[in-house]
Amino acid sequence: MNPAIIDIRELSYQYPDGTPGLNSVSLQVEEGDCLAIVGPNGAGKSTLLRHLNGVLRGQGKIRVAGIAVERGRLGAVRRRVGMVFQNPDHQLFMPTLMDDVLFGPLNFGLGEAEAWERAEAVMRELGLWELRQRSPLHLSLGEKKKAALATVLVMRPEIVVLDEPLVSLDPGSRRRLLERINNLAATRVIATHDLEMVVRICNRVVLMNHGMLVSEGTPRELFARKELLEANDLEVPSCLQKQGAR
Amino acid sequence: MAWMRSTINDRPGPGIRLLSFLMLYGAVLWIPRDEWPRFVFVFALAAVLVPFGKQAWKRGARMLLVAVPFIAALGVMIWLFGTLGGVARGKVFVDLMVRTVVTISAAALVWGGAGMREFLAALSQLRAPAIVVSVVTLALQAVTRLGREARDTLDAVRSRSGKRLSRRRRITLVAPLTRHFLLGVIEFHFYQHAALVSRGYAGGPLRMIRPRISCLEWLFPTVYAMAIVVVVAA
Repeated sequence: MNPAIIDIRELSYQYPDGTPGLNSVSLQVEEGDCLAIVGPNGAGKSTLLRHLNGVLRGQGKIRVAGIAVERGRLGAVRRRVGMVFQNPDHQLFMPTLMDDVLFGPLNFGLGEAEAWERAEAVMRELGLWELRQRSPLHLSLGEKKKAALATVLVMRPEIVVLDEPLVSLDPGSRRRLLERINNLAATRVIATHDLEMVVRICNRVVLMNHGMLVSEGTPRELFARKELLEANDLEVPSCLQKQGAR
Repeated sequence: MAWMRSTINDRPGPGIRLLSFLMLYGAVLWIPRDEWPRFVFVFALAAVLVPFGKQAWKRGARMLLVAVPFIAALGVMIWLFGTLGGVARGKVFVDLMVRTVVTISAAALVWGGAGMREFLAALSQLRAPAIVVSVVTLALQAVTRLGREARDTLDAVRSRSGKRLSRRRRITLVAPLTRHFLLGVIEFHFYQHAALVSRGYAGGPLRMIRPRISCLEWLFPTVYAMAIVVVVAA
């Protein structure tokens, strides 16, 4: 068994207005896992993801790659955990796409030449190189999603955290981005409603609702439980429905 | 005149345009009072420098429109300070207003071909302190995005309001729309902060690649400065 690269113990979080976000969540993710977090809107998926690199800090213990997520160690944690936000507009803030992709590596102390080399490689791979001088504000949603992923991949994180990475994409962009995520060597944690994607690329899935973990297992195990899914406002993905009908 | 254009996008580079603006401002301040024809010359000179192309002129005109509220606000400020200082009677107000309008209008036209990216690049090129560039970067991004939010919200309101909103309806909508907008502002900054810190930002200036001005572009402000000196000193 691989060691747990993410270890969350009894994590609870309340929003400043008093709304409960997470309620005593415990979860371990092994190195190399592709873990999906599924659940209805407002289940606490994004809130949980934001704890993984210390953007939010609740009560409980989180260790990432053996490092406690706490004040004073956030730099080391963020170096290891790359986070792709749900809305790329929230993630892209620099005047040009190149500046945005370089932002993380430069912050983490890489030299300009090395940062540039990495950025070029990632942008060419994702088909963004021609757009490097464009303002992120003027990109299409698909391009922004890829750009947001590039800003994270350029840091070569051990763990990539993705919040609804495929939402609102056209089928072509969806397929290409899915392939890229599938080929990542890093440990992946993905919050999503896209259960088809989960079946295709994830080896483990946890179901959340009301800020708590409800169930977990492999995608096929969990998605075979129709009543459980429907009780949590989810549906059996069509690819598994077809298999069941045969 | 090819040497007047940058090698990128076939128009004067951003640093050059910012320099031109500063020279323009200096020139307008330098013109003695009651010599208003020279303002016209300076303005015409600025207009000549607008990059070629319909798009650039359209952007210049749009920028000019955007500048109108600032011109008005500056006018009110000048009037207030002028009145308080007791100098309004000496036509100082009119004089300052003319200079302000000429400078901002001309600058808006000169900047017609430039976008936000060019503006920020220009600040960097001119060795503006990194913290200033960073603050301007984030502020401009925020304003642009919030502007879009505001426009989308108004479109949503219009789309469910028939042809035209009555004055009374508009007034009753102001409070909830303002609240919605302010909450959006707060939320946006929360996300932006999260995006910054998640990629290792720990305060201070944003790290950016510094652009360069080409040798040919340096000729442009030199010639422009000479033209302004001739116009002002004539």
